[in-house]
This record gives sequence, structure tokens and C-alpha cells, in this order.
Amino acid sequence: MSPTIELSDLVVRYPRGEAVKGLSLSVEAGRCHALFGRNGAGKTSTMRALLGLLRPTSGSVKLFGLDVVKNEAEVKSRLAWVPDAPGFHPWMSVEEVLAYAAALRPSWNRTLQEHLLTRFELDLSAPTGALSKGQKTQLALVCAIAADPELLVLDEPTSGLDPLVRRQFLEAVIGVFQEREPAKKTILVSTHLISEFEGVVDGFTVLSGGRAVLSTEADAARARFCRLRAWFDSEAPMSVPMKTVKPLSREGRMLDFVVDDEADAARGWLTQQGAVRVDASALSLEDIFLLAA
Amino acid sequence: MTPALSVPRVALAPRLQPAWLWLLALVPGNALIALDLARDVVRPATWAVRFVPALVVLGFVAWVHAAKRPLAVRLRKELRLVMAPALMLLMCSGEGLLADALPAAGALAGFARALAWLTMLILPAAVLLLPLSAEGARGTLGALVLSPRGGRAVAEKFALGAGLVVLAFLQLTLQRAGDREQWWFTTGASVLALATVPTWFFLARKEATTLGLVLLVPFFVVMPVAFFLERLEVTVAVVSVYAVVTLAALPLAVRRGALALPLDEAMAGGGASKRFALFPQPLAAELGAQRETIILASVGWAGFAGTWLLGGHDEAPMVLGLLSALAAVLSPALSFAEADRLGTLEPLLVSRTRAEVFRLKAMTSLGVTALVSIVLPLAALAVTSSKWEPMPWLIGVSFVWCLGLVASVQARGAALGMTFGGGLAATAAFTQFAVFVAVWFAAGALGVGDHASSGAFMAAAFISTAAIAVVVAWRKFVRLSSGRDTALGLAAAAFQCTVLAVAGLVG
Repeated sequence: MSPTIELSDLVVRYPRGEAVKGLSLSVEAGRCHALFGRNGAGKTSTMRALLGLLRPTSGSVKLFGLDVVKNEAEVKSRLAWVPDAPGFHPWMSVEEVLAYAAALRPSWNRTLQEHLLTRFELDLSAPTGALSKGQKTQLALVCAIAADPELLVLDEPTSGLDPLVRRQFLEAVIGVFQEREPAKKTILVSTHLISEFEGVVDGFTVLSGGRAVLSTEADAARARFCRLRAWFDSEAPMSVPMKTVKPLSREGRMLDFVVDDEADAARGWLTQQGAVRVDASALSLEDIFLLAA
Repeated sequence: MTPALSVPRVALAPRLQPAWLWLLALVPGNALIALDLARDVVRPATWAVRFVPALVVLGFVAWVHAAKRPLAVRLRKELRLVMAPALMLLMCSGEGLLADALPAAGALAGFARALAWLTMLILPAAVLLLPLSAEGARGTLGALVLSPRGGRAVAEKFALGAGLVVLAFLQLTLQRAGDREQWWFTTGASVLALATVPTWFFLARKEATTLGLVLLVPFFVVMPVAFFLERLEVTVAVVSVYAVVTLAALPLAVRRGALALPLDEAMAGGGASKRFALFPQPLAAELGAQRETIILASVGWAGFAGTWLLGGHDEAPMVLGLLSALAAVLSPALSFAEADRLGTLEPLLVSRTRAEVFRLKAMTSLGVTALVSIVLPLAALAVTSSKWEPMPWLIGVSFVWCLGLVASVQARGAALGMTFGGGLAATAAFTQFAVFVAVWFAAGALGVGDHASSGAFMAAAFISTAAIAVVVAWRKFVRLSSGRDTALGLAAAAFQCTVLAVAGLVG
């Protein structure tokens, strides 16, 4: 079975330079994959190429095994998108926006729509011009999920939202969208708020300068990168023989470093060196991003 | 002690670039002045005086780009914001000289004079309002107003706009006599319009509405003055009531503009959607987005009806024609550029194919334009037995719509895309037209060909250019083609116009 998302050597070039430089990515159905990166890393360009909003300079973009340009109609009928700043016609009410969104889709799940409206407490008669940013994002999510897509693309969906709305948003994405058909529903999310998605994403790709510097499963990343802190009776060693991914920090009798895939070897070495105490802890996704970006 | 503001010096070329643009834009009008003066063999003193407005503008631009004072830094930004409408204004105030400078141009010169005269009614308000709209759209207006020098900065903004308007009118009044009385009436009415546009600006901060009002208000005020000079007492009474009411509403408008929602959002609540509830979605939404087109065209009908009923002038259809053409430019801009600004275009593109979205938006816009700018105006003209021919009207409005379409697609993503879309469409139209006319007159000057059959070939030039514009817009929007394709399309249109001009002459 083809992956839901398949990018191959994607290049996006603007007149002022390349935003994406040969990115390859594969996301299987039923996964929640995140794109992490600093501003200008190429996340938005990647997403826009994936959604067919811009033409890649080179490389291929396939969704559901189909070319997004050649099979535009079929691809678009199976995906939905929540942008970072959703836009609506300001004269429309919430109800009219939903009717409008439903008119654009081949299928529309009214039960889901009602469920989400109740959950978000959105007033159907409220004009969209008077909605807060959080309410607009919620409405965009209702429009996206009620369309019953197989792929939900979220572009910085929770930036600028208060913690309560962020939590409601994530609960809706996971509880209402993905858990209905976990093997079929795929999510691609681009975000700066990595900690928010810590327990949500199955895999992630860290982009830097338009390239993927790290692409891995979330659990594998947590197992791979290990932070070690060791305390010694005397001066701590000046260096360690393992491969570290963070500059060694040494303060008197304490040594602090992160190893890449050599946690057990490092722990043994520290004991050999006379460490009186060794603490090992898995890194958070945000820590891993900070190391990689 | 507060340290002096240090202004970093940047590379010479980028700093000079806007100044060169100003210079290049001011050259054509002044070349015409020179031509006019050379033919009349006027005194050098008169010659020098007529160049004063352009010299003042160029000197000011040069100072702003060379000086390091904080005032110059602020004005440099203001010049960039005001450049598009101000350059058009200054060029139009020079274009009015075409009739005098090139009497051989005949109908073309008359057309240029009428166009410049009508454009002069619109652009002064645009010079004042568009920089404010641009700041509002980019989100920099709040920071500007709240800065310690906010009041001074806003005053400088208005002073710069007013100064440019005054210089443009000075440029007009320094030309040969002829229609000078008409120009004075235009000037007076435009000043009145300028005095009242702040009210409208604060009431409606949205670009589309602002632009629409920028266009509407001077016409509301000016047209009666322009067309009913013999009914001056009625005109003065109407205009005075309008001015007093508008100025009295300014404090309320400022409060609403500064503290409350913009007019379009305050009025939101499904009103527009309810009016189009008979239509299925997404057509109803597209029709709702065309409100300003319908308003603009309606003002054209009202202006025409009022002018015809009061005076029955032969010029009355001109009001309808101009506003119909403006509505035709505005309509695709609302469908594409404004939708992009509102953020409603991309969600649509994610749900439907690009071709479907293009068809939906373009066909809705074309349908609205056909109804409000072609069918209804022509019906009104037929009822009033006006002498205007339907075919040139149909071709002209369709041509403007096609260029508006390509400009709106090109200008996507820009906050002021619609404004510049209109400007770009007008520029493209005149470029194509100029190619046709240049070849025509060049051949005429060489004694080649016959001018008798110009109408049919001119119509063919318009139609072929319009067709190419639609193809370019389609490829740009649906195929996401590059700028090179657009340039090729425009080159093809220019070539086609040249061929038609030559064929018309030889044939």
C-alpha cells in the first residue's frame, strides 16, 4: 500500500532563493507526523507544495500514491487543511460558513459537525467577522474534520491560542478525527509549539535551511538521544570518548552531555571513571529539535 | 541627553531606484510641455514656470533620498507608499496636454484629454487614502499612531499627499488656456471631495470599500458640477448639504474607525448571504463578494439617470461608461485578489481543483459584470435614446474586465492587490492601445495607408488582447505558470496589435 504522503527530492525555489532543497519524506496512513523547524526552515513551502498551492521547482509530491497535480480532484477530495490564520467571508455567519464548506466537498459528516460545534460551544448565528482567533481556528477545524478527510494538514494550528483552546483543539484532532479510524486517518502538522504535540506525534522531521536534518519516529528519537549527568568525588573528566550531540558541559565535579545511541556504553564508562552518581533521562521532542535544528 | 538619531546609510542603487522612478514618470508629461512650448515659441520665463511643479517634486524626492534627517527617513517611506497613485496623478496632469501638443492625434488626443480629466477626479483622493489603507492592511498603522511621533507622522502623511495634489493641479493650471475654466471647477470640486474622504476612510477601513469610496465620492460631488454648470445654484446647494453632513459625521467616523470594527465587519451577520440565499453555495458566497461591484455600477446608473433627467446632456453616458468600466475592473479583483487578502481563496483551492476555482470565480465575476456593466447600462441607454453604440461599449467593458482578471491573478497575495490590479490593468490596456496607435500614426506620418477603416481593426486589437489576457490569467492561476509566460503573453498581444494596425493601414 502506498504511503499517504510521499515527497521525493522536493525543491521549491523562489526568486530570492531556495526554500526547500531536496526534501524526501514518507508518511504511512494512520500516522501523525510533525514538521519542526525554525522560521524560514521551509515548513510552509513544503506544506504549500503538498497542498498544490505552489508548483515544486523539481521533485515529486504524491498523496495517497497519486500525483497532486495530475490527480488534483481526487487528492483534494481526500484531504483537509487548517491554516495558521483561517480566513472567512466576514459577512457570513458560522452556519453559513459550514454550509459553504459543505458545498465544496463530496461528503460531509453532519454528526461530526454537530458534535464539534457542541464541544467548541460555537454560536451558529455569530458572524465570522466577530469571532476571536481561537474561535476562527475552531471553526476551521470543524470545517476540516466534518469533511471526513483521510489526511488532515495542520499549519501552525495552535499558535496564538490560549492554553484552554489549544487543549480543546488537540483533543478534537486526536479524539474526534484520528481515533474514529486510526488506521486510515493521517495527520501532518507543522508547529513551533512542540511540547503541545509531545504525546501526539508518531514521527517527526526537523527541517533546517530547507533540508531534513532529522527524520525519525518519536519513540525511536527518545530512545536514541539520552542525556547523562554524572557526579564525581574529584574533578570530572575533560572529555568523553562517545559521540555527543551537545557540547559537553563540565562544572567542577559534574559532567553533563547528550549521547547519540550510546547511552549504555556511556553509563558504563562513567562508572569506570569513578562517577558516584549517574542520572540518565530521555530528551523531550523539543530538546531533540533544539539539538538538531 | 538624548543621542541623535543615527540613520544607517544603505547602498546607493536601491536608494536611488524610487527616485529614478519618479523622474521617469514625470518625463513624458513634461516632454509634452516642452513640445507645446517649442511650437508656440513662448518666452523662456513661461517655459521655466511651466516646469516648476515637476522640478519641485523631483527636488523634493532627491532631498528625501539623500538626506539623513529623521524627517527624510519618515518621508522616504511615505513616498514609497504614495508613489503609485501620485505618479499616476502627476502623469495624468501632464497627459492633459496631449491634445495641445499633438493636434495631429485628433481623436486620440481628445480621448487622452477626457481620460486625464476624469482620472484627475479620482486620484487626489487616492493619493491621500491609499497610503493609510496600505499601512492599515500591513498592520503598521497602529504602531505608527501609537509612536511618540505618531501625530506628526500622520500629519506629514497628509501634508505630503496634499502637497502632491496641489502640485498636480498647479501643473494643470500652467498649461495652455482652452478648458481652463473646466479645470478650475474640477479642482474646486476635488478639493471638496478631498475634504470629505477622511470621513469615508474611517467608516470603511477595508481596501475594497475604501477604494470604492475613493472612486465614488469625488464623482458624487464632481459630476453635477462638471455637467450642470448652467444649474449652478442647485449644484452648490446639493454639494453644500453633502459636505456639511459628511464633515459633521467625521468625529463619529473617527471613533468607529479607531475604536470599533470596520464597517464591513460591523455590518456582518449574514445580511449579504441572506440576499443571495436563493443561490446555491458556493455561488452565493461569490456573489456576496461582489457587493462593491454592484454598488459601484449602481452609482453609475444613478449618476447617469440624474444627469440625463436634469440635463439630458450628450456626455451623460460617460458617467455610466466610466463607472461601468471601473466596476468591470473591480469585479475580478474582488474575486481573486481580495479573496486572497481575506484568506478565503486558499481554503477553496485546497477543497476544489484550481481549474474549478478559476471557473467559479471568473464566471461569477463575468456574469455580474455582464449584468451590471453591460446589459443594464445598455438597456438604460436604449430607453433614453442615447447615441452611444452598443458594440464599442460591449468590447470596451469586456476588454477592461479581461485585463482586470489578469491583473488580479497576477497581484494575488498583495494587500493592495486590488488597487494595483486596477492600475496594472489600466497600464496594460494603455500599453497595448499605445502600440496600436503608435504604429497607426507612424504609418500615417509616413503617408502609408488609409485611416478610414480604423474602427474594425481597433476592435480586433482590443479583442485579441483581451483573449490573450484571459489565457495568461488561466495559465497563471490554474497551471501556476511563471512570470516569463506572462511576459510572453503581453509580447504576443503587442505583436498582435502591431499586426492589426499594419493590416488596417495596408488593407
